[in-house]
Amino acid sequence: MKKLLTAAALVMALSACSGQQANTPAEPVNINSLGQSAITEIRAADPAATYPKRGKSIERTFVHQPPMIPHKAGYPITLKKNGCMSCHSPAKAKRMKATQIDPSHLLADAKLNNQYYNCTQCHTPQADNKTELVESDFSTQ
Amino acid sequence: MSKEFHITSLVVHAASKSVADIKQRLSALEGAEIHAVTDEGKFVVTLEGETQRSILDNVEAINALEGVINSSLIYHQVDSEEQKSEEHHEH
Amino acid sequence: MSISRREFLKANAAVAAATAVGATLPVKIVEAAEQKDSIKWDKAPCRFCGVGCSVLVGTDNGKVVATKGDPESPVNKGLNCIKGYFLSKIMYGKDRLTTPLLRMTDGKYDKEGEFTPVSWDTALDTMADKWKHTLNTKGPTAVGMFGSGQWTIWEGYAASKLHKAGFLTNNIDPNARHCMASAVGGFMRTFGIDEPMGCYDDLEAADEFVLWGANMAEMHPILWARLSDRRLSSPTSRVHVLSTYQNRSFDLADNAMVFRPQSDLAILNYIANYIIQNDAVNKDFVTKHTKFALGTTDIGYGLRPEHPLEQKAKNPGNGKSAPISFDEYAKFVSTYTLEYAAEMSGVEPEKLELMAKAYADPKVKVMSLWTMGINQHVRGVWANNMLYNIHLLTGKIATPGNSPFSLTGQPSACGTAREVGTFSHRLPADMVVKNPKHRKRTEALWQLPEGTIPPKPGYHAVLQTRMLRDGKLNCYWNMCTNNMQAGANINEEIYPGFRNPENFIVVSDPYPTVTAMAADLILPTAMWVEKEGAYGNAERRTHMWHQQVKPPEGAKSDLWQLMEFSKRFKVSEVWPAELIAKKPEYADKTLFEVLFANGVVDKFPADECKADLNDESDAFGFYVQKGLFEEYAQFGRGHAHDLAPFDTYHENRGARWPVIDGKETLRRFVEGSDPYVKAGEGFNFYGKPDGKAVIFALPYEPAAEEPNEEYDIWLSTGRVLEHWHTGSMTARVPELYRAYPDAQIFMHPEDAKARGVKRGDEVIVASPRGEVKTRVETKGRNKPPRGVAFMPFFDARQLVNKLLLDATDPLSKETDFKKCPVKVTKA
Repeated sequence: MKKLLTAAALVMALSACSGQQANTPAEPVNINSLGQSAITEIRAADPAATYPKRGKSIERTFVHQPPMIPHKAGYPITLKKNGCMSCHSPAKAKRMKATQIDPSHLLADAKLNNQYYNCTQCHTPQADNKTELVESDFSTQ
Repeated sequence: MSKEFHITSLVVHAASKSVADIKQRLSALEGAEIHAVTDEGKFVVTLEGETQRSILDNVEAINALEGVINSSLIYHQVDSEEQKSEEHHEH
Repeated sequence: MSISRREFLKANAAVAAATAVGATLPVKIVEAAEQKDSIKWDKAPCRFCGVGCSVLVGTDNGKVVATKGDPESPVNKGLNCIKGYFLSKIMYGKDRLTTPLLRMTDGKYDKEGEFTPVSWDTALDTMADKWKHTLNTKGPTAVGMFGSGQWTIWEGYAASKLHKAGFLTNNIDPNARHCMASAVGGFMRTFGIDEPMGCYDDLEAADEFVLWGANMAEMHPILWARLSDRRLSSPTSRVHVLSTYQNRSFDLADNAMVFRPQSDLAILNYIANYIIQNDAVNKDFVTKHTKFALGTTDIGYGLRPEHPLEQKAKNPGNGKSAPISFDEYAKFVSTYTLEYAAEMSGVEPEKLELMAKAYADPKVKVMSLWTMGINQHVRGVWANNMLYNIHLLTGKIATPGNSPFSLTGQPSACGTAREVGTFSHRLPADMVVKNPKHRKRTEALWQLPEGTIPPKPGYHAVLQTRMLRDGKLNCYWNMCTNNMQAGANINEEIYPGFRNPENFIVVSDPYPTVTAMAADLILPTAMWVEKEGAYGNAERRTHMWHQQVKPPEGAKSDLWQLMEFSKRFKVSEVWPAELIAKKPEYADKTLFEVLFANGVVDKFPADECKADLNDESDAFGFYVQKGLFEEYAQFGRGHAHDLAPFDTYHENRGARWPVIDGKETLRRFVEGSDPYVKAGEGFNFYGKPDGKAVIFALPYEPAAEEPNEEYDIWLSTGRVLEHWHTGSMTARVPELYRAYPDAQIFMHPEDAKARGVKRGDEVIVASPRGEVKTRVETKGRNKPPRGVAFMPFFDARQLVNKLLLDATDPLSKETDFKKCPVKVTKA
């Protein structure tokens, strides 16, 4: 699938370069949507996503990116309690061997800034049994 | 109390038959990180530590590993560690 | 601004050593080492939801290399949600389209042919031929466009002009029809003018919040963050959440209510009744500023006229009402007792009453928030009216914290679709095609002869789909939207319409979407900061951005495509002789000259653009965006839709209209805040000729379909936090994809068990209209009650909208995406 996409991109790039005249018609390209199937098809479901129980911190891919969660994240965040803080608060992080919450999320007295209460708004786990549907050309170089 | 942060990089040249073994042992060293290995068995390694002593201890430990032909220190810097992460808060 | 000083130093150390031996380092290390200050930061509104956060976009070497929250924006104050943070990656999916693709066989267009690269000239020429042929043989009602609430303001404006003034058709409708049409209908019926009277500042001012079927925790995360902050910082404040299933917003709720689908109507009338019974009516306010009306009932479901439900309806599509007195209204709602509401909804009476008290207690400032649960509803307009009822009865409106707030879904459903009027029945600034005075004003501003604008509304979204299928709409241009995945009833209506051999379908998109795959011509499109743009968010804040990077070679913006296309039509080819006779000097002009090079749109020189990049201005030789904006702004200035001068929006983080003398308006219809309300008036709902808002007596009416013996589960569809709409952008971002790779069906564990399936099993979800295969989730973020299920629609591999009926609110024509009876069986 990936090979086809790259070949298609190459064909498209060549066609685009070959000028505005369409005297010799270009070859058809093989493009696909993310549907990985014809619209009228009833595609079988992919295997369910699995998330690691625990893991090392995942390196960020660009400056200021909120780091992704290297473990399952079912810890409840409710009015009563923020489950993530049981391990990631400044007081607990070292002992729990967890990454300490970023200072930008804290108030001067090291209390949690409540605008950052809903951690999963920015941080999510990453399925470990899934490869991208489409490659990303993003780079910071 | 202001903390120091020492960072050192070195190239560790390992005998080809020992590359896998050295890789494992280097990874196990506290504060050591392998960034690359060339085809000729040369490792690009950084060492972090809070004192110069800890860095030097590690260099000694590396040199003592079986299969290490030699190691060369390339870069060393000492920084006084700022309080938390260096994320700039604009407002 | 580095990743961290430690990592920066480590990276430099590694690079030094690697250089010494000629080793290749992982890219990440090299990048870290280069994290100096070569990144250039500039602002842009987020590409995604109607919250309208501002982000700072970091570019380096012609690419976007980072995005982060903009600390200068009063909307998000430096915070983003996960989608906003990953904006930097949305333009870089490897399958970006870079050449027009036309279905061909043996070098000729063939609807059954293969997608073949052609030049832009060939593409637009082919389109023009098709359009001209159709216009000449079948007339303007056979061409049309489906546009977007994600269009920039000037893209929507240019498209609207091209259709209503160029091709003389009203067959232009935005995908905002699927999301906000009911809200618009509610505003127009209650207030006579569109868009919220409050603003986001109400989040910090309100005492109690009520979420009506809106899952803000996932869908408006930044506003939810502000609301959470308010709730957590002031313990006397309270959050009530209503939904047809338990969701993440329930986690911060004091009063969480799961209600039976459709029963929101009954609950709303109950609250009105409670207010009246408990003497909580603000009599002074009601007498001075409101009047009462009885709405027509039994209005059908917006289905095809031959559908039995439409045949049965007594007053299909009838939005009329008759004036009544307060006493008659009170009598009308008196049957909506607490017992009745509890029975209809399945919600515990104590909870309903607690919520009713929030509205009734004069000391409590209450903010109601809603989006798709209320709008994508066969009685969505009614529900909007009924929400305003309870705020009007108590006078809790347009003051800080007292705020019925209709949240917007898309980034510019307000700024583009609604304000510019890119609808089949509309013109800019809330004007409508049916009104001769409005047409006259538009024709004057557009320098058109009298009688140009067609008076009859064109085909709205769902009707466009039906007309395609029936072969009555033959040339169709889709821009910035993915209806083959997002629209309802794909198998029976949308797909056959696209593949009907009588039709020529064009799709403009950056990526090969499901819709593009069903088209005949695909146009590669530039996106977001690859062009200069402007959006208007849910709180009436218009904000702008400059082009910051070039699009991939070959891709062009929607605006460029529209304007280039217009060059290929002479007025004499598309206007009837009688019309040309009124302005004969136009006869030999192209539509481009009449619509865009008309002395107004082209009056600003290109060098007035303060940014380095502006591809459209380069292409056309004048400051296109400014010219379009300033011509458009004439419609609203002085008519309560005042926009500030163009340049100011590039300098600030947006401003909330009406903007008069540089001052934005936080709250409308209220003295002291709204410049259109005179001193001494107190309140003035000036959208209505008599200044009075309308309180509507409207009943509960059932959904189009209810679960039966075979299709025994009520399926609701919607979004998830990590993905935007159909995932064409977000599913191409590795982190967002891995965060939520596949759609699932959220079900109650007992419902799963009763069907012999358990969590993770593959199932077939079927309705009379189609099937999808998915996996069961019984422990996820959404926990439906028995008899209800939820599936998100972001996954192109699971086209859940095949199942849905294209039933709409008959007044707003907005599809109900929330109540589809299905059956679930093991695959």
